[in-house]
Amino acid sequence: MNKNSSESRKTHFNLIDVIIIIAVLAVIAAIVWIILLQSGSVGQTDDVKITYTLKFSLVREEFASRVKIGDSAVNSSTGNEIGTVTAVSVEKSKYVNTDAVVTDENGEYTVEVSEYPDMYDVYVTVSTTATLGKNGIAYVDGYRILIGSQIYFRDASFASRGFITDFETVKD
Amino acid sequence: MDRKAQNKKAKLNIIDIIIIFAVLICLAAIGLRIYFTSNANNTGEEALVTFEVYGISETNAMAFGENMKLYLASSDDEVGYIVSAAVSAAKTDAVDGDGKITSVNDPIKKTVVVTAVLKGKWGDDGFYLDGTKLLSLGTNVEIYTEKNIFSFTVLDVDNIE
Repeated sequence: MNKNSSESRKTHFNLIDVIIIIAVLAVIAAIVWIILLQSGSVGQTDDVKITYTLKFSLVREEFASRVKIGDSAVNSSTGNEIGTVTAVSVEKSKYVNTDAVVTDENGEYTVEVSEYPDMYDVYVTVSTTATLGKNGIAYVDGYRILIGSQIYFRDASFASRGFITDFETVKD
Repeated sequence: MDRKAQNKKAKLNIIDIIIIFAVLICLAAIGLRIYFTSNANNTGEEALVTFEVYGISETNAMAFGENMKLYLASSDDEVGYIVSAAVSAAKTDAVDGDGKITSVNDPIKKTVVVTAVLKGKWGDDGFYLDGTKLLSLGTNVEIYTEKNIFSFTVLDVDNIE
């Protein structure tokens, strides 16, 4: 008697369970899709060739010449490749000397711009293929390529946070 | 034999019901999320907003132009367009010859004051950009155009007659 009742209470995998599992999987897929859609990782339609320039400010002298043409550029926050370095230029970093107020030709107060003796701004131009996303914006590794966008860059011998100062796209 | 067949019949148990409720709650949440993110900007109302983009580089400042479309960085929604943009030197504090702190033009950084038509809806508290973000004076919003990305501070919000 007991054996029979415990047998009849055994849980069985039935049709309703299958429907529920499918529904749960559908919900999970929908959530993932929405998240990817909002992050700009899906819904992208076209590829473009793009060249963008990153500016690294206040780089110490010994690091200023580390990046070389031909280096592979990597987004250090994702670990994914974001292009190949095609040009590098270096100039001395500037600062505003707020202790040296001068009067300009209009009689207004202004300050002088001075150069740091041993700090440099490094401009690195990177070429790659980007994905055209929503609103016609180019994305590289999920990041918008726009003036002012921040990219965490590294190559084999240098890593820093840079801001995009210029970009150019060429549609295939 | 009949009893065996009866036992094998698909029956809803309490766990099934809990899971179904959980799924329904998830679907409702997704529905609400989609409703508030996709329909919020289709409210059909506009405001003339003046905002300031402070202390940016010259290259970023020169990227602003009339009639450029504006997109909300958090949702990619198109939220309006630029009517006019005026670039000037950003201000910085410095010490003058008398030792007083004075506000002077920063020769490196720029400030851009933009007037734009923004989409959203008017509510009791003011204008809601994209139907969701209340634009009070001093509110910061991250926006992008086809050329640049920046954060702005609201200076003025007006009705469009």
